[in-house]
Amino acid sequence: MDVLERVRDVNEGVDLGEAHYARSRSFLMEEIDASVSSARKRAARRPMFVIAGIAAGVAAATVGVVVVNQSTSLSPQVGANPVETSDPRSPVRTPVPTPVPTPSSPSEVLNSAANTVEGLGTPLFEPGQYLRREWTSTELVLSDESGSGSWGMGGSHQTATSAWQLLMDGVTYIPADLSDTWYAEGSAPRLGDFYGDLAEAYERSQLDAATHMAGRPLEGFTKFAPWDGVGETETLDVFFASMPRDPQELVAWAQEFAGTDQPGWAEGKVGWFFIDMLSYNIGPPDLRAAMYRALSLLPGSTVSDEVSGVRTVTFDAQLALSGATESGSYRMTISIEMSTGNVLEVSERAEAGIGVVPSDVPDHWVRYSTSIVDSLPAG
Amino acid sequence: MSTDSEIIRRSLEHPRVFAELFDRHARSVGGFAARRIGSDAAEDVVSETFLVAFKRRESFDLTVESSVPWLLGIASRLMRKHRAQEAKNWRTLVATAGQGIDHSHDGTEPLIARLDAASSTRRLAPLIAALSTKDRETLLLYAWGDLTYGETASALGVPIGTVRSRLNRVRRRLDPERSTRIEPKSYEKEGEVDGRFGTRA
Repeated sequence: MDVLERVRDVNEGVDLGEAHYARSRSFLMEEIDASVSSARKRAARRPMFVIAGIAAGVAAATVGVVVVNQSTSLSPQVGANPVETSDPRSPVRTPVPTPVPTPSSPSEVLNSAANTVEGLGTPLFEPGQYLRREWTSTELVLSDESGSGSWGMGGSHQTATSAWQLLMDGVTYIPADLSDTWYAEGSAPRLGDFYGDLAEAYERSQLDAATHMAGRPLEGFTKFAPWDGVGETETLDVFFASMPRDPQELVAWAQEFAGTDQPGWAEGKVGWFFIDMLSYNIGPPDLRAAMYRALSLLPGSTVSDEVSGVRTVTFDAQLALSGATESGSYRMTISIEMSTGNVLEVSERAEAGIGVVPSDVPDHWVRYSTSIVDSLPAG
Repeated sequence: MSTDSEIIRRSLEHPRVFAELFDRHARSVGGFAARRIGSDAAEDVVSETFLVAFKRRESFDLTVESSVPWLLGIASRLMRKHRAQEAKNWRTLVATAGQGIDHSHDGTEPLIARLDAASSTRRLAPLIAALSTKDRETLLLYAWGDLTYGETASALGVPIGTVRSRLNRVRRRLDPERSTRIEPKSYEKEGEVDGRFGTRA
């Protein structure tokens, strides 16, 4: 027998147990769902460019997006939920007095957040400690005759006859060295409110695969760069280090990096990419400041009054793609704790005013609470 | 039954379909990883392998039906981070080979097979452990991953000649008798033996 064939016998029969595979599968599905959300964000911003082009062609003075509503709150859920500040037992950053005048425009708010982040510098975050990032999310599932899915990923407000919310929560433990192992745990999805044909929503939600996902126990993983093309296993810290710090350059870098294969595609990625990255509440302060300033360069924003030290910046667009499922309005929000520059909430809603789901119910909403802990939870 | 490439193609539009690929091949990846680095670390490798694969699925060559070489290639690269665990695993393997075999087993053939396996492990494990990382990776993709030469080359992203030269070098290292009658050393240079070792490989 060839010696290589004998190697086949070595350590034969060793395998993982079913529990291992179940956990891995659960982890994968969670990541897939997260990617669905990201993909939807990319799709959502594409129309903004289309409108921008039209506006530019018709009247140079017209801004590229239509401000749908000057109101400050996306939804009762977002607005009605008192925004939690960072865990006072172990704050990420010590809030500082703000003697400067209260910023009134979106650009001023975002630049103020940038200044705060920059001024506070690197969080007191030592090797061995973790940033404990607790999150609570609500995902809207839209259902019609053809199936169920989130908006932009098979779901459409225009055709949905019923809808329901999936509620999830969990904790991510982010190491001081971002290339080290991250840890996360999450709950199984739970059903929230139902919309449209309630009987149909209840029946279909019971059949939806998402409702059968298991919770995820605490387990480690490597945090890779958020986009393809930056190295097969490049970690987030390497990715952060490669990003320019000048806001204009950062926007251009992100546009180039995202690709310009579709009108508006790259620009859409830019906005949502910055919001996503900022929501980690981690990373070099100069980079986080640059991302806030880059956001301030994007059009179509409004800002809420300050509530408990939190300002919410809203980006509105009027979608106008030829595809019927992508017309209507699109709104994304980012809520910032002004004393720390931390992101407390993000949300998005497409096609407001269309279909069976009230306009003030977001397609996706996440709230974050962060603190520093000395170790992972026992067990 | 859908091919892997069909599943991946569908997953580009419907991401959740990618779970079918996990259901189909997780055990191949998991078994491969567990043999190399043990169960605990292997679970992480399985998770990360499918996550990386999902993120990179647009780059998968849809003309290739099976994704197993691609998945095992990703897993192999991820396992490079577990070198210490792999070394420990090999040491344990050498120390425990042959233990726990039930010599009173009724079925003669299975017993012989298991003794053979234990013998192979005892003799080969230290030699495999002593191979260079590249050679060991190539060997294990071929022998444990059950890949062909071409698939192993695809998994590692190297020419098929490189795989042939590595495996011939491995043969010499693992089989001292064969090494006394093997080809000149110049053939060892990777990538230059394609075609010449073809009939032997």
